[in-house]
Amino acid sequence: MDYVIGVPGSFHDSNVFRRTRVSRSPEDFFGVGEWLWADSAYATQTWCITPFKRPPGGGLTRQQRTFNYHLSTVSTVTVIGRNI
Amino acid sequence: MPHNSSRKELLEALKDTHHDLVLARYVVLLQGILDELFESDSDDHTSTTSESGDGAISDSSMHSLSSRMSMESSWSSVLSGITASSLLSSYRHCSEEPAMYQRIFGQFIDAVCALHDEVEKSRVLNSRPKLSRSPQLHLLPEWALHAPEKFQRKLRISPSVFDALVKRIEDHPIFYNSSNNAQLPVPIQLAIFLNAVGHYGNAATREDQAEWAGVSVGTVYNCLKRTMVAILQHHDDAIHFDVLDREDQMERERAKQWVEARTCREWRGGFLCVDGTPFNLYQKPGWHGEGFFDKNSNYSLSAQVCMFSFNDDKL
Repeated sequence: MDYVIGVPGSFHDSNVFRRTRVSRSPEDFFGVGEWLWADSAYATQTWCITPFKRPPGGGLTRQQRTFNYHLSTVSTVTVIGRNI
Repeated sequence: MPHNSSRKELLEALKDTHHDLVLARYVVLLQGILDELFESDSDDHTSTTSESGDGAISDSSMHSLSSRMSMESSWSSVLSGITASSLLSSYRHCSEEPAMYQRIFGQFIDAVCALHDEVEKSRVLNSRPKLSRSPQLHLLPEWALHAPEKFQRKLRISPSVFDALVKRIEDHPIFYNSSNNAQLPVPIQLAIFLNAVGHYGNAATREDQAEWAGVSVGTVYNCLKRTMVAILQHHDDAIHFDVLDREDQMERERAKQWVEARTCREWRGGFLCVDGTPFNLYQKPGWHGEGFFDKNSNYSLSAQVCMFSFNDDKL
């Protein structure tokens, strides 16, 4: 669909993601009520849904944990290179 | 200092020998003519001096030739039949007749020319015993039927995706040559490619791939090159997105259905997924090396891939 390659490895995933076409012009890809699943390394946007992160010294609510659990069922299919 | 191939060295040595031989032949011819001239008017005083002078020249040239020949006798293992020393001795033996050694020179020059052609035409200079091989490719079709997880572990894709890929790339002209020796079948070339790109580090050396597939290192290299060309041909078919395009709309709908089936109706809007992976580099780059140092303490290039959020084997 869309990809970026050849960026130095020291860049953070979310930084590299900002260079993709999806991230530069999300309006070309997403209509109202459409979005993209990402893991917690990425920044949340209206078109980019990430799991809840545990705040320092705190914990997730039950609802947040349930949300993360169901999110993992859809977004783990793309975990690259570790699917075996 | 640039490295010269042994074939090039051999060809150059043969060329030099050829050149020296032609030169020596003319010197001997010249000497014969001068000898005849000298014999015809032997009373002449001036010709005596010229004879002694020429004799000195031809002596030295003969000396250089013989030393050259003794050096060239190291090639005698290569020269079949006629060796330098045997020619030299036969030359000395019949030194009485100029026509005779003209012929011998001619033979020697022809032999050197023939050898030059032979070296130039031969594909392998030093033949080696064939290494024994035990290819493991035959396991793949068996695994595809009875143990797809093993197939997937080796080639990193499922058998059905593999078949679909073969179907997409097998018509590419790069897999066809106009020679009597056809290339390896496309599925085998693709398998070698996938095994190579699915491994890194020690397991990904070309030698390892060659042993696994039972082919030579050069064949592995060719398979990788061809398969990459054939797959990149499909880049624009695979990497595209247009909101107005009908096929893309259908694909998007399929992704949404997949998400809905796994979660709930409210979540069906999330039809794309993103993730990244590092590609480790062989070593620290020379320019801005530290800039490539990643969180896993490797030097790498980063990649991000956005794709439809479904795990569908049917391409």
